[in-house]
Amino acid sequence: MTALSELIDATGSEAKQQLKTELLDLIQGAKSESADVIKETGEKIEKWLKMKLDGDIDADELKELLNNRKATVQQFLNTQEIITKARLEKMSTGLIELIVDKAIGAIV
Amino acid sequence: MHIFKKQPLGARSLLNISYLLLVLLISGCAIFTSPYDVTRHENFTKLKATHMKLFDDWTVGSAKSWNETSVSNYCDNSDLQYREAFEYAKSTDKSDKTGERAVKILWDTFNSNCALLLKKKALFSKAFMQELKPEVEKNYNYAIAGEIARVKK
Repeated sequence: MTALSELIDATGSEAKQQLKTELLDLIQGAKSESADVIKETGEKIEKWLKMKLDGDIDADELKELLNNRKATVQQFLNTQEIITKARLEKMSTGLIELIVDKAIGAIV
Repeated sequence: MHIFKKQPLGARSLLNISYLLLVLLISGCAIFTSPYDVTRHENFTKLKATHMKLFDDWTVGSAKSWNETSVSNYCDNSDLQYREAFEYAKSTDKSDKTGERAVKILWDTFNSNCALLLKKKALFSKAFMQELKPEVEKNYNYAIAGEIARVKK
């Protein structure tokens, strides 16, 4: 029983640290990429409005560019959802492998 | 006998995470996404090529001159490709619909670009295309990056 308690304790501490690192990495990555997309959207809209005022594009083309930008941002968000879920799955798999490895190590 | 009593924080955290995952799974929340699918990945690259060809063929400076029938035929034939890719994604994406959503966004964008071209009854201008093409390319690149990010099984 003592060996099992130690095993759970050791696995828990290691898993906690692993989870913390993975989650921080995930949050930082998403934050930075989202900030880039927001900044880029602002810059593009400003440029396109100026192009419309200068007569380089017409109202239909401006509307099309804005709608396409909206679609790109939707795609970005969809991709972020996939990345987050995939990493969560990898983290869970990693945790399970860690527990199994520790258990096998304790038995062998 | 009571091995789960007085456990240190590390072990409790692990158990809490396990319980949380279990509850989410039982409640039907899609916490995971569909695995990587090579055909879905291939479909994204093919659709990107189809969309880029529309731009390259029907922009001022290309070898082609305005031909409404040709544009209309190209848009109609390509629409079928998007429909097929959408149905495929739908059939392989039972977890959270992120795959079919990605195709639908691209499909709607293609149809919108076609509709504008047919409404104007003229080739896209160079100034407009310099802005539109990189925007649409980025959309496909995000979709492809999403597929690549999925868990490979």
